[in-house]
Amino acid sequence: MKIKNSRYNHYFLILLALLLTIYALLPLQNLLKEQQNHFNLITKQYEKTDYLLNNEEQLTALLKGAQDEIIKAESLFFTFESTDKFKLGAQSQIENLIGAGGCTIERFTFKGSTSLLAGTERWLIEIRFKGDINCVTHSTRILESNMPLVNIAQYSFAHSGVTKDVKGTFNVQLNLVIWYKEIGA
Amino acid sequence: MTLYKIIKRLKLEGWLSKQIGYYSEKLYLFVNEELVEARKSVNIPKIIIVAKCHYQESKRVFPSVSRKELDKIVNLKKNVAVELGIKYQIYRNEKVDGFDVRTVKLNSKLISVLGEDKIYIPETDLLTISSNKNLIEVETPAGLLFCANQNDVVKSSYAKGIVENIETYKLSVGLPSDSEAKKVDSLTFPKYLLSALYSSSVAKLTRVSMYNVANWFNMKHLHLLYWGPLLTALLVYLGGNGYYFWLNESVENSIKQGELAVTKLLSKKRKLDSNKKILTTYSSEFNNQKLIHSHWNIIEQLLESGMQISRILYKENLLTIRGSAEKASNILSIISDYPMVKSASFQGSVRKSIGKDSFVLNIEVHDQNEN
Repeated sequence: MKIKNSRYNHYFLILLALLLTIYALLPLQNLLKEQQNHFNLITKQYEKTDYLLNNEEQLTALLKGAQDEIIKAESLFFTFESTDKFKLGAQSQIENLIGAGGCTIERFTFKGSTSLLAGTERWLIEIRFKGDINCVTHSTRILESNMPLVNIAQYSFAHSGVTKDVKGTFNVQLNLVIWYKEIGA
Repeated sequence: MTLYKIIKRLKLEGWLSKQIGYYSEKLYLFVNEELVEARKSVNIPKIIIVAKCHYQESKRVFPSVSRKELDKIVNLKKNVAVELGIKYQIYRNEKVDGFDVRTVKLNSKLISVLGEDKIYIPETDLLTISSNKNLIEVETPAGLLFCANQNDVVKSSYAKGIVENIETYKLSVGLPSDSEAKKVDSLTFPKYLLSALYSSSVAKLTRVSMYNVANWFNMKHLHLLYWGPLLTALLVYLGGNGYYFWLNESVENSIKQGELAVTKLLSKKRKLDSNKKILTTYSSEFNNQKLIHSHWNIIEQLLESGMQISRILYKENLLTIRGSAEKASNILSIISDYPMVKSASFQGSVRKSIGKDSFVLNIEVHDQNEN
């Protein structure tokens, strides 16, 4: 009986060790890993915030610089309250520019738009007009130097046969790109 | 391999000499190859050479029996007598076509005095190991001892009673009267005993000594082999968790303290990131603009060279000009050298029409952003 009890003591000790491993040691090991991961995360967060606090002035200067550049860049946009007003305004402005050179405008078409950022779009325009050499050169110069920006992406000049005396009428097609920004966006 | 070779290789001579004792009514220690009575406070050595007076030897003959059967009988006896202090030595006996079994039994008092966790070696077994002669006469602390080794069977007796001298002993064990005995006096006895122990092979010592490995340590202590690391790991994990809990708390408190300032800053940072994104978009839109007004310089150059132009097309840096001239190759040569032109070539073939060359020129224009 004593021998049996002694054997059961051994079994009991082994069982106790197993239970301790399963219900205490392994959960503690997992908890330690979790705590280590959490510590690494919050340490990085702390370092980041510490870096931010130490570089507040630099951050403010960078922000101001970026805002200034954005304001400067906004002069490149046709800025209107709505798309309809933009279309009307942009067409009349471009037609005035081209018309000032003595060109006869035949067709003005908005070909479509692509959204860039919220309230900001890129528009494609096709315009056809005719006129002499002065009209054509004036149009390209005045459009390219205009503010808001007008980009001539493609063009086509047709003539019955221009020579160095540059007489006669040009039939012109310009594919323009302009940028629209909604006021308040 | 002898015990001495092992000890010498491991450099344990000093340590081992302290682990050997001799028991004859009293416990003796080996100090400088002399027997010195041990004080009561001293630790009892692990290996005890036991004097002849503390054990009984008996011999029993098992005729006409196989070794297998004899082993079974001996094992049965060993299992019945669970206590330490009995050694069975089996020798082949051709005369009876069987075996002799020599039983050495230690006095139980001796074991109770010295403990069960010791290795006991009967002195008579040890004395006959190193001697070249079969007969030895030794002056031991317990008295004059005669010892004989006949075909590996050890027989011994103190000089008392009817065996009062070596001659009588020879007769009693059946040795010839002219057998020469090796004499060991009381002074050289300790040295002789130690050299016998050291020169013994480990196999021989295992055969003659009495021990029980189970008594050397508490079996329950074996559980420490895994409980030790288990508890250490538990303590490490508890300590580690406590440490990281404290660290996390302190870092989180630091973050909370600067939370308001950080919220403002993070809002600025987010605004800055958003602005950077906007500027990147603007930059990719506006910086790729190609100016075309300067193309009039190329057209002027072509007209000056004598070309009559009927159509000009421009798309993605490629200027396509249709027209005619006296000699198309001259026009191509002139325009190819023009600084604004990257490359120029004819599109398709050059056709002759009313004495003029009619052709289409493809001109790749330098991107002004490249300069």
